[in-house]
Amino acid sequence: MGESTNIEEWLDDHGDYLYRYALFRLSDAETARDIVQETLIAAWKAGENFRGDSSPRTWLVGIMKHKIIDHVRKEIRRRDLNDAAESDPTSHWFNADGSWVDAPRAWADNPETLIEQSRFREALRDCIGRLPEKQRSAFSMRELAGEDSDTVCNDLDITPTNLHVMMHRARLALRSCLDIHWFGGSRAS
Amino acid sequence: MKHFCRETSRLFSDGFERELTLLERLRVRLHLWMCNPCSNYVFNLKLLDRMFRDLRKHADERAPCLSAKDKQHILDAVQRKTQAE
Repeated sequence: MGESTNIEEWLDDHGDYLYRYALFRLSDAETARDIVQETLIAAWKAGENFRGDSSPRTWLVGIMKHKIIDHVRKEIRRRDLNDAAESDPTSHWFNADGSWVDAPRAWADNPETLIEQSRFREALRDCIGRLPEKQRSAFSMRELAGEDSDTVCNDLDITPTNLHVMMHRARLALRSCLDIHWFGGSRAS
Repeated sequence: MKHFCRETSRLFSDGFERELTLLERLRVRLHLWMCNPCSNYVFNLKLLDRMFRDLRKHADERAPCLSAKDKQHILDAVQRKTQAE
């Protein structure tokens, strides 16, 4: 059971770090946990290849990066088939004349200190979690993990224009979700 | 009458991803000067941008961790897998 002990050590020493790494890129707690699990299994299988040139954490993160990229690319390919029929991705938010369907309003409630409240952070994470998968991944990688645009495009195998459209749609949806679920807007998204 | 809210919101979002041209920046500024809803939208997005910067800065202290239940779930699954092989 030496291998299992190794896995327990990895989980104790690096599990939370790996979980956050995945969560900041996927914004889905269950998927992040599954990716940690898959990473540990892959690490166990590849254990002989770990030569100690890098720290175990760096090695595990390297394995996890590939798991995340595989997962997201697979989801994007799957969702693209469903999204193909949608002709105008922003028609939900704007009228035919280009004006807003629901005009955004100013947010009150001392917003500068909101992020310090755990309840607000939960609402924010919940709204990110409601984004469609490919928007959620792109948005999480950019805004939560702080990756630059080039890295996200490479990881997701998308063009900069694709990324800009995804980020635009994600921002529209996230702002609206927070407006409704935190700032007291009246209309459903 | 044609409104430029759709274009302005797209350009403003693009500004987080790439450097806008001078003409694009002027178009955004001119429209925001005339349009309250878009000014609110931009204000909301700027606030979110500051929040995400703050979140990243304090990621370690505020980020969620694996629960004891999650860890056990992972260990059980990994052990099932390793024993099967």
